[in-house]
Amino acid sequence: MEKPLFTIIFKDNSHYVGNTSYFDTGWLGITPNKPIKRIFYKLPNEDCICLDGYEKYFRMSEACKDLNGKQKGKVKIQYDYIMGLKKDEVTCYRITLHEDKDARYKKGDITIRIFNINDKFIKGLNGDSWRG
Amino acid sequence: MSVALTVLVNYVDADVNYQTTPADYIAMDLTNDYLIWTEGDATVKDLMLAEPTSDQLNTAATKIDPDVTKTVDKCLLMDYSHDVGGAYYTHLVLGMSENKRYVYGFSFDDATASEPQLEAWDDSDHDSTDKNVLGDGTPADSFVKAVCTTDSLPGGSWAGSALAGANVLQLNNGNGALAALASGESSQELYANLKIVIPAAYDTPAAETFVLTCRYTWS
Repeated sequence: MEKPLFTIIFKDNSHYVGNTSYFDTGWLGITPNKPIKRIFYKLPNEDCICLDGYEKYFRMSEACKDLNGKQKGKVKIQYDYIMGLKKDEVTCYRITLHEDKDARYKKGDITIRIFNINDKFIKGLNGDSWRG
Repeated sequence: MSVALTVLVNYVDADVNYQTTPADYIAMDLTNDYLIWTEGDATVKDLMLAEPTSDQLNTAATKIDPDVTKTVDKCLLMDYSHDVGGAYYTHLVLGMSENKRYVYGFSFDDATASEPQLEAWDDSDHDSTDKNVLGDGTPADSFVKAVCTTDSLPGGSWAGSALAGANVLQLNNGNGALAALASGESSQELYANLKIVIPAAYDTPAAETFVLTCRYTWS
């Protein structure tokens, strides 16, 4: 059986289980502002990483669609992101899902970056997608 | 839920947006349709009744000018499924390179998680920009110029930014993610204008293809 993309344990010890598809993750079904204790987040090899102790969490899938070329029209989900906000910093885990030929990042590679909350990238995120 | 992207081109009036006048736009079937950048001639033109051949496209190609930069004159939509007019394979993209706002549209059926962006690459691997048209390995030298017109007209003689590799175009004018759809709306659009500007006396004539890519996100 396919594992869910994420499992959330709230501070009241209730749970929320995400969906299995990157196209319908279930993230926005999480009750906004309900305090989260930790998130188990699935990796491409079916292992999980655990984010714990953040004030707020954010996830997104990043896709590209070519207007022409050999893969034109195909939605290619390249990366998955799970982020945690603590004080003024956002720790961003970028998980590579799609590996192009000769690509720098291989499927399953995780790139960790820490952003200030006022960074343009963070400020440009959809505020309605933060949970916790 | 993922967000669906539809790429639109305006073929009637580049002063009207998709929400008010959707009939002025053709939604690209990205599996079959494609854009043709050309000088055009009596054969390669608006409203062709057959798909142009390679020979025809070569004959109608833009010529490098020895003295001044040359902007490719036309962008044609190769409309494989004849969405408009019944029999026509090509439609002239209205307003390309001009001071027009509603030329290339990017329509999303829901919110995005971050700001969508337009990119240009050698091919679908998205890892190189070595073609002449993309700056021969130097993205800042790309012939492909892009400007975000979501909020306003690009201005007369707009220069645009060089589009290639890491040089991308933020499609919401740097204003971040697209919010949830307003009540009663089924889509929201971002707009850009594009042009290809060939440097004067460029020393490598070429017939090249490149890949335009829209990158977007959802939660």
